[in-house]
Amino acid sequence: MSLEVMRTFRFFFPWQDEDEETWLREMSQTGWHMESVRLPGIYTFRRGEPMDYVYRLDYRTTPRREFLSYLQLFSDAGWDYLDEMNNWQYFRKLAKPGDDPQIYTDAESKIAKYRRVLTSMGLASPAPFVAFFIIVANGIKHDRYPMGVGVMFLAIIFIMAILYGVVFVKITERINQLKRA
Amino acid sequence: MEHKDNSQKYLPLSEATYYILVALVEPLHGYGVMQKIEAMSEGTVSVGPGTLYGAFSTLEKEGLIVKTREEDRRKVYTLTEKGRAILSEQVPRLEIMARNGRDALNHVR
Repeated sequence: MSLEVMRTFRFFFPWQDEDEETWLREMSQTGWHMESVRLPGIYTFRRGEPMDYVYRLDYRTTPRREFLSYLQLFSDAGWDYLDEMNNWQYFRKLAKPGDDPQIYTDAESKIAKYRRVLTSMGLASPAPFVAFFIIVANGIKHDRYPMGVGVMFLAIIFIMAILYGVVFVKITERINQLKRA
Repeated sequence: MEHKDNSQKYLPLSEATYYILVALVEPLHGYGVMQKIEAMSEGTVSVGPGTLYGAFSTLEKEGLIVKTREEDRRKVYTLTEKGRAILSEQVPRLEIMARNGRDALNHVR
C-alpha cells in the first residue's frame, strides 16, 4: 500500500524561516511535496517524483484587494503559490542544477521582511509593555485590584515581555547577520 | 536648496532601486521591470519578486513612481516628476564614482 498523502507537525520560529525553506526542499528531494500548511505547523505533503523544488517564504500582510496582483507578480517570475499561514506566504520553484532561486535578491529587502514581522507583532518598540507595566503598577499602588490580582497581572506582563523579548532579540540577530554579510 | 535636502533622503539608492527607476522611465508592469533590469544590467543585477514588490510599495508611497493602470491583475508603474529628478541626481554621482574607480585602477605607481 503506497501512501499518497502525509501530514507532519513541525514548529519553526519566525527567525527560522530559512531552516523551514531548507527542510521543505529536502522533503521534495525525497519525493514529498508540500501541498498545504496550517497552524500550528501541520504540513500536508503529497507523494511524487523526487524533484528539486526550492521553497521560499515571504512575510506579507497585504490587504486582500492587493493580493491578486502580488501573486501575479510571483507567478510571472515563475513561482508557484502554495499556501499561507499566519501571514507567511509559501512559494516554490523548480531549481535548475546549481541554481538557488531567491525571492529576495538583496540584503536590504530581506531585512525589510524581518522588520515587517517585528512591526506586525507589535515589537517595533517596547512601549506597549512599558505602558502596561506602568498602568498595572499604578493600579497596585492605588489598591485598585483585589488581592493577588495585581500581582498576577504583573506576572503575566513579565512572562509575555520575556517571550516577546526573545522573539525581538532573535529576529534582530537575524537582521544584524544580514547587515554584516 | 529644499530640493537638495529632499533627495539626500533617498540617496544612495540600492542597485535594485536605481535600476527600477531607470526601467520605469517608460510605463512597465512588474515582470517587465524584472526582465528589463536583467537585460540592461547585462545579467549583473537581478531583482526577485519579493524585493520588487517591496520596492514598488516604498517608491509609490514616497511619490517616486505612480501606478498608471492595472491590466490582468498586473499593475503598471512609471516614474513621477520627483522620481525623474532623483534619478537625474543619481546618474552624475555614479558617473563620478565610476570614473574615480577607473582612474584609480589605471594609476601607474
